[in-house]
Parts: sequence; C-alpha cells; structure tokens
Amino acid sequence: MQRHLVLTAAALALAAAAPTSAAAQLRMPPVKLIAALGPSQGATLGFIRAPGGGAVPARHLGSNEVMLGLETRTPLRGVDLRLSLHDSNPYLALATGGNADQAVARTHLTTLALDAVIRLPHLGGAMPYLLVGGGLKRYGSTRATSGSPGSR
Amino acid sequence: MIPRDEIDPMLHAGAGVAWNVGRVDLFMEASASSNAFRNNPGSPFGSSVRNYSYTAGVRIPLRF
Repeated sequence: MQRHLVLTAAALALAAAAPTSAAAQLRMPPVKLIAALGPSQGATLGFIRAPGGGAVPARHLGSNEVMLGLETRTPLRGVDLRLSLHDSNPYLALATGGNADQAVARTHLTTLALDAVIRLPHLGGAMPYLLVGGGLKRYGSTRATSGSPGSR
Repeated sequence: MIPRDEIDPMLHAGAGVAWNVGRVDLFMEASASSNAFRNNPGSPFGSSVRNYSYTAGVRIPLRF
C-alpha cells in the first residue's frame, strides 16, 4: 500500500511540474494523466508449477490495485488512446494435497495495457465510455506462506 | 509452492463513466483482462486467467 501511495504521489507531482508552453500546446495533442485505485479480483488462476516438479492449482484471492496512465486524443472522432500500468499484490490460494487453499502465496501482478477509449454519447452530465485493447500481464513471485490471508 | 514469473499477452476490455469537475474528470470504471496461463500442464492451450478490477480515479490534463 505504501508503494501505491508513492506511485500516486509521484504521478501528481509530475502533473504539477509539467512545463507550460503555448507553442508546444499547438503541436501536442492534449494529454491527460490518469490515476486510479480500486479492488481487483480474479478467477481460477490455472496451474502453477511447483519447484519440486508437478503443478498445483491456484486461485486469485483479490487485492487492491493502483493504476497510472496517460490518455490522448486520436484522429478518430470519439476515440482516445490510453496507455496504463496496473499494479497489485494479490494473494493466491494454492490447493495442495486433498484440501483446497492449504497454502497462500502473495504475488505481484503488473499489467501494461494499451486501450482504445470509445466515448459514448453524454447522459446528462455523465460521459460513458468503453475500453478495448490489450497488453502484457506479469505475475512475479514475492513470497509463499501457509494459512489464510486474513491471518496476516 | 512459489509461483514462477510469467509474462503473457492479454486482452483488456471495460466500461466506465466520467464526470467533468472543473479542470479534471472523475471516473469510475470496471475492466477485465484475460490471458492464457502457460504453466497449465493439462492443456496445450493453457488455462484462461481472468482478472477483474473496479477503480475510481481522476483524469488530469497535462500542459506541455
């Protein structure tokens, strides 16, 4: 959580320190900085290869996620482009032996996404939009423990 | 049981709604990402991995 706060603070500082130039504004399309926070959940993760061989099924138990990104206009009317980085530290429940969720590992999930932001017609003061895109997702191991995430 | 590092391509889709408040936009959005997990020994196509996130945030215009 501390790292999330540091990332958010750095992004806000970057926005405040951005230089202003009327000439540059004429050349550059408008760019917006995005900072967001919220919960993330996951479905069955699949199978994780065990160090000693074999594999164990794992479930994603959820976490909080922080997102930082940049959004800019495109030549297409009503379509913006967003590059975003998502970061979270979810718990993974690993089914070992006959009982599910006997062990819990904490992993580091980072995703980099490039999305088209399709702006829909305004509804009153609200501006709805759709996101469609792709990117890369990385699971990095940090530590493995036993028990439930609530016990830590 | 330590998960191995994995980097996989994913698809990303979502929807949101934004409100203009002064110079910034506030928004709430839900999105889902899906990828194939390569370490699935039971299938040559891997197991689909889906993550869902629900975020609230701010969109701040940058000036260059």
